[in-house]
Amino acid sequence: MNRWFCAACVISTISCWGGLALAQHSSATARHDAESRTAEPHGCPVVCDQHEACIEDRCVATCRPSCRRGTFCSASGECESIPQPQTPLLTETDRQRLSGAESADSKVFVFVDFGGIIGYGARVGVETGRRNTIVSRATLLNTGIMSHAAYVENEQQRFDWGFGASLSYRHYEKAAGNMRGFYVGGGLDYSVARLQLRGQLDIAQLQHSAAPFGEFGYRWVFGTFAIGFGPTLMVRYPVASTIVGQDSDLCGAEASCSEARGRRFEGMMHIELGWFQ
Amino acid sequence: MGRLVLAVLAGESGRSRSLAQVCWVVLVVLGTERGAFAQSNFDPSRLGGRTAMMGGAAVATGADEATAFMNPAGITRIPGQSFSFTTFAIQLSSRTIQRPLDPNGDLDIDKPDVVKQTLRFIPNTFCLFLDGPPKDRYSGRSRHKYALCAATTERERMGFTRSARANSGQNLLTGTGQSTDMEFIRSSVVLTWGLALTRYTSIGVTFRTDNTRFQDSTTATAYGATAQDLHMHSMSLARDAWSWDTSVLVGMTTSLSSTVTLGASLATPSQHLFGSYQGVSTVSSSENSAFGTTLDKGDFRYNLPGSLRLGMAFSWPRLSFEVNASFYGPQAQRARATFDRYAALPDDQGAPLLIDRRASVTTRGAPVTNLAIGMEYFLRRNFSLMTGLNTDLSGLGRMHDQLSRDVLFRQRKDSIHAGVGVNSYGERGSILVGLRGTYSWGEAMIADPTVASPVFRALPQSEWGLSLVLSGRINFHTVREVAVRAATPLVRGGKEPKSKSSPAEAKP
Repeated sequence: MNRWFCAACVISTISCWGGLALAQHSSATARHDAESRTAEPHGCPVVCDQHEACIEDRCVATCRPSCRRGTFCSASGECESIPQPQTPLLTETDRQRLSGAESADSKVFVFVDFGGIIGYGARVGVETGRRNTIVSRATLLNTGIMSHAAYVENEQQRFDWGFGASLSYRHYEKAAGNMRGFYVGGGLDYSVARLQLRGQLDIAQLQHSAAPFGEFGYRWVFGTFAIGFGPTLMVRYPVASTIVGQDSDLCGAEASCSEARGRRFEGMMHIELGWFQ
Repeated sequence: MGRLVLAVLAGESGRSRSLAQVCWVVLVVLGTERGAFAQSNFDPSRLGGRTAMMGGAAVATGADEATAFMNPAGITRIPGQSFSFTTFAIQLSSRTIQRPLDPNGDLDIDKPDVVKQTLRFIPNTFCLFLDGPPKDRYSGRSRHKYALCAATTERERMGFTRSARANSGQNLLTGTGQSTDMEFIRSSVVLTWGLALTRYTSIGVTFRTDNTRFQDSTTATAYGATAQDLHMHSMSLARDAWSWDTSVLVGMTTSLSSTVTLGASLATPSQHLFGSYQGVSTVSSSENSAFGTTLDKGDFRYNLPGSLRLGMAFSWPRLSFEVNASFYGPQAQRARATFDRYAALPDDQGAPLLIDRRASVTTRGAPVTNLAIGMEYFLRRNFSLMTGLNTDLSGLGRMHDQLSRDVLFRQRKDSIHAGVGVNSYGERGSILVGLRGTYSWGEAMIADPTVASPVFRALPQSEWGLSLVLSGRINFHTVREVAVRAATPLVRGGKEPKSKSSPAEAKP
């Protein structure tokens, strides 16, 4: 990876410096074109206020009073009409409306969270509602890479299997349809994992844990299909731990059976693919 | 204990000789978990050109490659679709370790210190920034911003090969040799999404994958010779380990007014995916031909701690000023190697003794608070002067002499970074040139071959460095224009195609 990374950096460095040099060379001719165009309010960290001009990517107070809607404050301190493209650009709302019109009124969404494969397990879920929804999910911990790393914490135990379920609430930002656009929410996750003792003895530990979590993200809709992504942050607390197995009575005498570990901070990306019903 | 080998080397050993050599071999073979070389310095401020010059202060108003790593909400400030890169083109550094050739101070060597200068070309960060669809018909700007970045987020290398003869008596020749080559690299790839929730508030998230790799090779030898006898002890250790981990970083920025902007980001502790650990060590002693070897194979993980970054920035037409504080939590396991150990060595009677067992080594992480302050002054509307200062304290506790089996990290250092540079902004991107200085101090763990049991001595070290920083950002429009100009003579016999304005640039 490092070789690839170094090679990519060198190539990019050369190409960019070359690009900048060429760009500087060509800037003299291009400057005339740029100046002949109407300046546009682009490049500033935020959309500048109506009395501010965007100058070199910075909002600078220039126009008093503020420019009316449809105009912008130019670098010369005058209010000029906002240039409109010859071909109208579709805005974010336009795109959501056009691509997701078919399912705009749907109230049920079924999905699979593939982000859990890199996390603590792939999840399937059902979401119901409009802008305020209830999401129920089920998790198979074995399908997550992190599950196999998080539970194998010592030389005596290995992760055998685990599953979980969660219930959460989501609120969607106003958008062109149900359950689409930006969302924020939170809920509670509960999971059970079985840790098998290494060796010949049949001793296992069932670890129960609960995790309050928060999440936000964005969902794009294409017809009845949708894809959403965002982070999920949770703190997992051990709730209970029981020893099971045919040789469980030997626990403590011939085998060391560790107790459930302390709380754990978990963070992962959810990547939800699903369909509106 | 530390004097036993010296006695052996000097040919003055008595009853303790055989005991010393057996202890030495057994302890080295069984006890040597080879020291990893790692930093746990989380704020080297090497990410992003502007951020490096601002002393790493970029949580509130950062707008370069570092933003994706420090506060993903800040990428919504980056204008347009662009390609960005940062390079420490040249870095000159000098590291001094005190007494590695005579850790015990018993050999009476004239120049036991090691000073190592390095001059390196260091590619560091590059990013790709992409826009989503525009928010509305009046601004032309999108409230979505995406970034894909790759960077070397931690990097440390130290290597030296030195030998020295001691000032011994006329009939006694003693000396020692050390060869160490350690490299620690953490490379990160991040996917970032930023969303301007409102005109003044943005949120963002970064999904980060880290690949940590360290390679460590050390040979240490001590010898003593007289006209009648030769005694020598040597230890050779080599390790190769890597770890893949992921973490999530969420952040927010909000402008309280046209002057004041606040920023905050929260990172989860990294979560281990998979890793590998392999180690080989051998020891030998001329006393009764004692020798032994150890083979380790297992898993390695290097965990980033959870962190909270807070920033406050003040912006006026000519001056921007920002101050940051970063808090990193403690960890029970900053790094952990868990492995199956196979060892072969002779027992007291010279019979082979084979050992096969499970073992692990763990290093705790200490809480860290770092501060950063930076300012940017606009000499002209498109040309600014920047300067900044930040601390970069180590996330490891102070080191002390330890048996090698208890050591995983072999060096720590606290650092102060300062930078000064100029930045030129333009329609086609920006370009930055600056200088960045670093001073570090701490400890390095150096193998001591002159003692009966293998120990690492915590020796003082210091380092200074000076880097020439070159950084640039170029937008896609310029890249396309340059590509067209470069390709025109090839594809059209020198005739330039008619320039085609993008829809967004067309006049009404």
